[in-house]
Amino acid sequence: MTLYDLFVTPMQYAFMQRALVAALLVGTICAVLSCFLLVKRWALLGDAISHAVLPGVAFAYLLNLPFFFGAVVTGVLTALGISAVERHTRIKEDSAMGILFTGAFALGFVLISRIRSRAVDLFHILFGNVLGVSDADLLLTAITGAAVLAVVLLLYKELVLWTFDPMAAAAMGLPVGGLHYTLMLLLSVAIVASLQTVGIVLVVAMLITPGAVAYLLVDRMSRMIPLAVGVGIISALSGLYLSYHLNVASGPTMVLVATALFLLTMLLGPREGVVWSAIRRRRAAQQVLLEDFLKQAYLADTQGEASVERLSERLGVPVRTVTALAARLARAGLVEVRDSAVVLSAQGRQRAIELIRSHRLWERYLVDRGGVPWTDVHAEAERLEHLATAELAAQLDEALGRPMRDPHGSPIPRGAEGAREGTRRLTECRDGETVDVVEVEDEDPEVLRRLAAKGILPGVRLVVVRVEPEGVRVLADGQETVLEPALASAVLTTDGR
Amino acid sequence: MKEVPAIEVRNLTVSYRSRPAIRNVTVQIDPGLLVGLVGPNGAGKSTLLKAVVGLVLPDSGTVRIFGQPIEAVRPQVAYVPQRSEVDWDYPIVVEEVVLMGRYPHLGLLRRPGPEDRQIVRAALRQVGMEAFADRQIGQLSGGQQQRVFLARALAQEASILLLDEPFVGVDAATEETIYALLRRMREEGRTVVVATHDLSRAQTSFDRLLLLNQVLVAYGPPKEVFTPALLQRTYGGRLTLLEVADQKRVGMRP
Repeated sequence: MTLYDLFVTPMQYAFMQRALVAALLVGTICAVLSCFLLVKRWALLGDAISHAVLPGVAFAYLLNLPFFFGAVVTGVLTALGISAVERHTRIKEDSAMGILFTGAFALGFVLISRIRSRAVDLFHILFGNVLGVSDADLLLTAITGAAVLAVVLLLYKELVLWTFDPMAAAAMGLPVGGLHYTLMLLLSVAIVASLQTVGIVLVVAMLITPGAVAYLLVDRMSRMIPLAVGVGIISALSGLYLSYHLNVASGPTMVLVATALFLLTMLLGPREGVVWSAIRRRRAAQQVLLEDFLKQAYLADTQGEASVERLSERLGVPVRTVTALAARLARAGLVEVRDSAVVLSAQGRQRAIELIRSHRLWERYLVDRGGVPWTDVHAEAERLEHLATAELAAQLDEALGRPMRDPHGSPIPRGAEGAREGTRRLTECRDGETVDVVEVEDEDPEVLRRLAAKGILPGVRLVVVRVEPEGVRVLADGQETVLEPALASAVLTTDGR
Repeated sequence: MKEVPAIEVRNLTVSYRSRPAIRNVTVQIDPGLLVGLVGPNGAGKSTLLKAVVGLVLPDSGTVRIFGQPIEAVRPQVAYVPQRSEVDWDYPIVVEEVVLMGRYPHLGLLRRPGPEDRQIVRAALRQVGMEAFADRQIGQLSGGQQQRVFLARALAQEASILLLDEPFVGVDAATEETIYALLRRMREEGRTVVVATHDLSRAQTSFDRLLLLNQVLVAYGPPKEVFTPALLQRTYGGRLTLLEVADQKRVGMRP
C-alpha cells in the first residue's frame, strides 16, 4: 500500500473530506478546553454535561427544533443545577454531578424510547458518526469552534488567573462568577459541537486526554494549550484514517489514539516518564556506587593499602564488582590498579576528599540545624553526600560557620587541597618544639575567647615546654602559660622554622 | 488634620451558613504600619481579611479603604491567599505569577506589554527571586513561593497588602527574610496586614497588633496589647465571647 493509498485515496469521498474537517475542528476545540478543565479539576463536569445533553436532543426532536439548541439548553441547565445543589446543600460537587447527570441521562433515554424512531439514532448520539456529518453540521461545528476559541483567546489571562488563584482573582475584581459560567457554557457548546464526531460518551476523552498529555510535558499554560491542540489533532486525524483502513468505528478509534498517546507520554515522557525515571534512578545508583568506591579507596589508602579484597569488604559488594568499578574509574582517569590494589590519581584523590568533605558537612548540618542526634546522622549523610556539588558544599560550609570537625570529631577537609596536611594539634606536639599557630578551631566561642586572652592566636609562634596529661605548658611571647587539654586540642600548629 | 485611615472597618459582622465568623469588629488602621493580625485558629482572621478585600459579603457593617468602598480602589489592595487556596501544581512559571499583579491595571482583554514585564522583573529582583523567573511555581520551597507572591503584590503597586498566614510551611531563616521584605514595604509607605496564628514573633515584629477572636479583643502597639490578660482573652478558649459580652454589660452600668 502506498502513501497515496493511505492518505489520499480515502479523501476522494466527500463524506471523508467532511469528516476530516469535523475531526480537526473537534480535536482543536476540545483540546483547548481540556487544558482548563484539567487545572480546574472539572474533568468530571465534562462527563456530566456530555450526558446531560441527551434529553436536550430528544426534546428538540419532539418539538421539532434543531437538536443543537436543545442540547445546549439541557447541558447548561445541568451545569447550573450542579452549582445550585453544591451551593445550597451540604452535598459536594462530585455527588451533585453524579446525581444530576445520571438523572438527565436517564430522562434522555426515557424520551428516546418513547420516540421509537429511526430519526434519532441512539448509537450515533452516544458514539458519534463522523462519516455522516452533513454540510450544515460542519458549518455549525465551525461556528461554535470559532466562538469557543475566540472567547478563550480574549479571556485567556483572566481564565488563567481565576483557575490558578481564585481568591486573588476575586480580590483583583475579576468577575469570577462570570468566568465560572463562561467556562461551563463553553464546555456545553463544545460538547454539542462534538456530538456528531465522537458522540457524547467519548467526547469526555477528547476533553481530558489531550490536556493531560500536554500537562505531563510542559509546565506553563501558554505552551500546554498548543501542545494539547497538537495531541487533539493527531488523535482525531489518525483515528479517522485508522478507522477507514481498519473498517472500525471512527469516534472510538480517535479516543484510542489519544489514550495511546497518553500512555506513551506517561512511559517515555522526558520529565515524568516512568522509563526515564527508572533509567535516571539506575544511573544515580551507579553514580553513588562509584563515588562510594572512590571514597572507600581513599580511606583505605590512607590506612594502608586499598586492596581489591578490602574494598569488596568495605563496600559490601563482590570482588568482581570492585574490579568492574575500578576499571570504570580507571577509564575516567581517577584511579589506577596496580597488583590488585587501587591507587588514586591526583584527580581521584581530590574527588574523594570532596566527597568526604560533603559527607562531614552534611553530618554537621544535620546535627546543628536539623536537630538530628549525632549517633544517627551517618546513614543520612551517606545519601546526602552524593547530592552536594562543590558549590553547595561551600554554601553549607558558610552557613555552618566553617566548622572544623564533623559531629564524630573527624576533621572536615577544606577546599581543594583537602585536609590541612602537616598540621598538628598542640596536644600532639613534642616537648621543646617550636611551632606556629595556623588555626584555632572556633566552634566554641568560649574556647576562642580564653585562647585569645592567653595570646594564642593564628600567626603566633609558641615554644612547647611540656606536654602533660593535665595540660600543655607553652611559652607565648615570653610568657609561660598552661593550656588545659580542651584548649590545647583546639590549636592547630605547623613546625615553626 | 488627621490622615485618612488606610483601612477602616466599622461594626463588621460576617457569618458563614448562619454561624458567625466575626462579630461587630471596628478598627482603624493608619497608613504605613506593619500590622499583625493574631488569634487562634477559627478566630476569623481570614474572614476579616477577605471582608476587607470584598471576598465575603458582610451581614452588617462597612469597610472603607482610604475612605472609599473597596470596589473603587481594588488595584490599591493586594491580597495573598493562604497556601491551601492556591493550586501549586498549576502549569505556570514564576514570572507569569508575578505578571498577574499587573492585571488590575490592564483591565479585561488587554495584554501585558513590555513596560509591565519590566515592572515584573524589578519586583522579582526586589524579593531576590530573579533567578527563578522560569521555574514552575510548585518547584519552589514554601518561603520562595511566598516571596513570589510578595513580588506579585509589588508588581501590583498596591499601597495595602493583606497576607493570610504567609509563614505556614516556611522555615525560620526564610521567615526572617520575609519579615525583612515586609518591613521594607512598610518603609516605602505601604500598609501591611499579616494574619498569623504564631505568637512567638508577634511582639517584636509588628508596629501594631490586632488581637482577634471572633470579636476584636484589642488593637494597638505590641507593648500595650501584648499583655497576659489580653492574650488570655484572645486565646483563652470558647468562653471569650461571653466574657467580652459580660464586660461590656459591666462597663455599661452606671
